[in-house]
Order: sequence, then structure tokens, then C-alpha cells
Amino acid sequence: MMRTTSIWKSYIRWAIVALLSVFYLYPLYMLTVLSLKTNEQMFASAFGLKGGFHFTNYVEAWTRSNFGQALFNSSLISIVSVSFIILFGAMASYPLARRSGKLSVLLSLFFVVGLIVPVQLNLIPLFKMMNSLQLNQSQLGVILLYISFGMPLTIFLFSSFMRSLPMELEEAAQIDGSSSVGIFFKILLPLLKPVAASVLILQFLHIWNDFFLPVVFLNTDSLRTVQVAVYSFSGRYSNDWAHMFPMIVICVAPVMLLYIFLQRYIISGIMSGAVKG
Amino acid sequence: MRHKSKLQRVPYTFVLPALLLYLMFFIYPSIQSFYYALTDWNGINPDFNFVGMENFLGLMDNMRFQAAFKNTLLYAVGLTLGQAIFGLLFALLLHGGFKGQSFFRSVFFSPQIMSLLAIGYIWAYIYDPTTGSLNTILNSLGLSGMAKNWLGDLDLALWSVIAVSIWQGAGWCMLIFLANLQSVPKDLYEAASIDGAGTFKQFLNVTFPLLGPAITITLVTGMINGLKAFDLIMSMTKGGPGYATESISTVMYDTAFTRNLFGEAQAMGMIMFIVIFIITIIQLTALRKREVDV
Repeated sequence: MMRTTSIWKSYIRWAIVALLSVFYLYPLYMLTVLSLKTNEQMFASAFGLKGGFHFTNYVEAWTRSNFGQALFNSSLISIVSVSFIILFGAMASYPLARRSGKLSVLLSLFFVVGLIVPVQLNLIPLFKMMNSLQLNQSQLGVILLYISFGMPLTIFLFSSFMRSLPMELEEAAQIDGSSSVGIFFKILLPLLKPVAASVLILQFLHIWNDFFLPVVFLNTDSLRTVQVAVYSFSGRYSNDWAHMFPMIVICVAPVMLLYIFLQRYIISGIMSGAVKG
Repeated sequence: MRHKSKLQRVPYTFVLPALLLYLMFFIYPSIQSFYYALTDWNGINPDFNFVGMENFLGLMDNMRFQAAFKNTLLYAVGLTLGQAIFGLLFALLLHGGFKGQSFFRSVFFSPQIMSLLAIGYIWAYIYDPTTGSLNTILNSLGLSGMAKNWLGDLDLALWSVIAVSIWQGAGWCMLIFLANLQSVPKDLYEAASIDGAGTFKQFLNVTFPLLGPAITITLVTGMINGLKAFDLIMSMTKGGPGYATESISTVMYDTAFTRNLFGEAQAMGMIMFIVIFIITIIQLTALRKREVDV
């Protein structure tokens, strides 16, 4: 008796989960199928099984939007920013984690405060500053902004991890005559791999997917990122779907592929970032 | 608690690159923002005037901003509660040896890795009243009465956008709740079931009170994200119809970069920061207290 009810319960649970996951898988399915349809074929076809597939959408959209350039820009900005976020974040965390004075506590707090300040507060002064430094409409400018904005969360994650590491290795290296620079690069940095992986994933996704900074600071044809390029296809009242869907696929595909292969790491990386609350 | 170390003091010079960038591109503009909110800078002209509280007073009878302010609060609350409820539901469904847990976990989490802009476009298409899949499916199921102009209806548009934001955020909350559920000791359930508590009672009396940390994280970050709402709205409705889906961020963006009223836009940014600040402080004090009580 008990046994049959629990089997029924697990069937019902499975049915609910399966039904809910349809809501998650359908939009991705639709995006992929419709990216291969012409505007006319899309009409009133929720499952897109009628008519052939047209890879020409991709070719047309790609050439019309200079999307290759946008992909390059997004990759460049994400990779350079994330590398420096990890380097500068780890460096800053080293004394903050290893010293116990008032200054160290104060500095840690000073960085953490940044977690609740929205970009919207800084935007106008930043716009002025970027203009006067000639960094408006420049990739370097946006990279500098991403590095700066990335510091609060990164330093928080790195320094809490570093505090949990034993000091014996560093002490031994010091006795062998290593300087603190040597200790940092040769001993500490390799030990930081697990958190560095989390930071890398969190910041890469954030920067690749960000729309607010690039739409303000990189809105010229040759500089725009994939998000701005997709946005440029939308009109005030109607969207050119046949050309937008292929671009959306190309903009989502790199992170989706990474997610499919590295989902275990991505999920645990994002989890460790979640403690910031 | 740090044991006494023979370690030489690590020089603070290591902090310098991070600190200099943070000071220059984050702290300095934050401080400046208080000043720009009190000016009539137009974004181009190097000369501008100090206008006192004029920008803020102007917003008090700016219909568009008031609509945006109200929408933003609704959006933030709707998103926060919706994603927490669905996230908890997903977590409870997948928790405790559910077959295929890791697959479905990845499925529910997948919108988290996509850009909100892309998600907005995909759903804008699904919502499209004539060609979109939602109405097509409703019609083919014989539910034409439920087919709506999801993003074009003044009363419905904001809720349609909020629904997508919940769809996007629920997977993230699910992960937080799953992690928290794993930390609930199993013997508590055994004790409860010996006492004759059913599944629902067990949840109410054992699980729920111990979910304090996850609830704090999801509610606080949900509100912060909700109050900043921008990408989804830009891709789904651009603030329309009328002002029905304008948010503080979308109005601020338009005020600065299409209408060149940078001072006024800054006042909006300031208001957003103050609201985020106050709500975060209130939430943290209230929710942390609850965690301790448990």
C-alpha cells in the first residue's frame, strides 16, 4: 500500500518536472528552428516543421551586420577584462587576506561596498570622464570599466578563499628566500585555481552578456559587441526576425556550448559567487 | 582566528592596481554623481549650471518617470517573489534522489547563462499576438479566449515582462535552495516522520525554517537586480505601450542619450541608488534577524 502510493508520487513528480522543462526547452528549440526560416514561413507555425530550412538567413544577416567584427570585439573585451580581473583581484586579495590590521579590514570593506552600487549611479560622471580621457567609443575604456567594476566581487571571493589556505607553504618559501612577489606568483596563484575558475566563469558570462555598458560606450559599427549588434536589428515598432534569430543564435551559441560541456563547473562557479549576498 | 605566523608582512603595494582602478572608475564617479544630479549638464556643452534640487523636483511631476518608478517597484517585487517561489518549487521537486536531477537542474538553470537581451527577443516573438507561438498554441488547443496581445495591452504588458524575468531567474534561486536543502540534517526529517508529520507538515515545520540563508540571498539579490531592470525591457517593449513598461533605467537611458538631459538622468540614477540602498538595508536587517531566531 505504502509502496504503490510512493511510486505514484514519483510518477507525478516526474510528470510535473517534465512539463516544467518544456517551458525551458521550447524557447531554445524555437530559436534554433526559426533562425532557419524566412519571415513568411514563420507565420503561425509554433513548431516550425513546415517548409525547408534556409541557411541563407545566416549568410545574409552575417554580411549585413558585420557580425564577425562584433564577435571579435566581444571575445577581445571579455578575454582581456577577465584576465586582468583575475590578476588584479588575486593580487589585491593577498595582503587583505594575510594581514590582520585595521587598514586591511577597512580596505576589504571599502571594496565590498561596491556590490550594492548600481552602474546607473555612476553612468553620467563616467560618460563625462570617458569623453575627457578620450576613452568613449574605445574598447580600452570599456575594458577598464569592467576591470574596475569586477573588483568588489572578485576580491571578496579571492580573499575569503585565501584565508582558508594554510600558511605553511608560504612560510617555507620565505625561509628559502623567496620574496613576496615570488611567493604570490609561484605558490599562491596556482593554489587559487578553483576560485579563479569561478571568477572566470562569472565574469565572462557577465561581460559577454552585458548590454548596458556597450550600448552607451561602444555603439559605433566597428566597435559594437554581439549584444549591441543584435539590438541594432530591432526597429522601434517591428523587428526583422528572420535576420535577428540567426544573430541571436550566434550570440548565445558560444556560452551555450561552454555550458553544455562545462555545466558542472559553471553551476558550482555561479553557486560560489552567490554567497555575495 | 589566525594563528601567529612567521610570515613577513605582505606589502600593500599588491592592492594598488585594483585600488587605483576602483578609485578612479568607481568611487570617484560615485561621489561626482551627487554633484551632477544638481546641474543642468546636457552631455556635450562644457559649461553648465548648478540648479539645486530642480532636477529632483521636476521628477515629482514627470508622468513618465512616475510610471517608471511604479513599474520598477512592481517589477522588482514581482521578479523577487516569483523567482523565489518557482526556484523553491524546482528545488523541492529535484531534491532528494530525483532521477535525472542533474539534467533537469541544467535545463532550469540554462536561461541564466544567456543574455537577457537575447531572452527578451525570443520571448517577444513567442508573445507576438499574430505570429507568436503562445497564441498559436492557445488557438490550436481551442483556448482562443485566452489568447491576448501580451506585450501590447496596457494592463498586461508589464506582467508579461515580469513573467519572463521570473522564468529567467527561477533556475538561479533553485540552485541556492538546493544547496541550502543539502545542509538540512536528515535526522530532523526522521524525527518529524516518527512524530507522524506528513510531507507538507515536514516542509512547513522542518525545511522552511532552515531555509533562512537561501531566502535572504534570493530576496536581496532579486530586489537589487529587479530595481536595475533594463535589458529585458529594451528588447521586449522598449518601455511601451505608452509608459506601461518603462523602468527607471530605460527612462534614464533615454533622458540622457536621446534627450541630452544628463542632469535629470543623474537625478534618476541617484533615486535608484537610494531606493536600492534603503531596501537592501531593510531586507538584510529583517531577514538576518529571522535567520538568528531560527
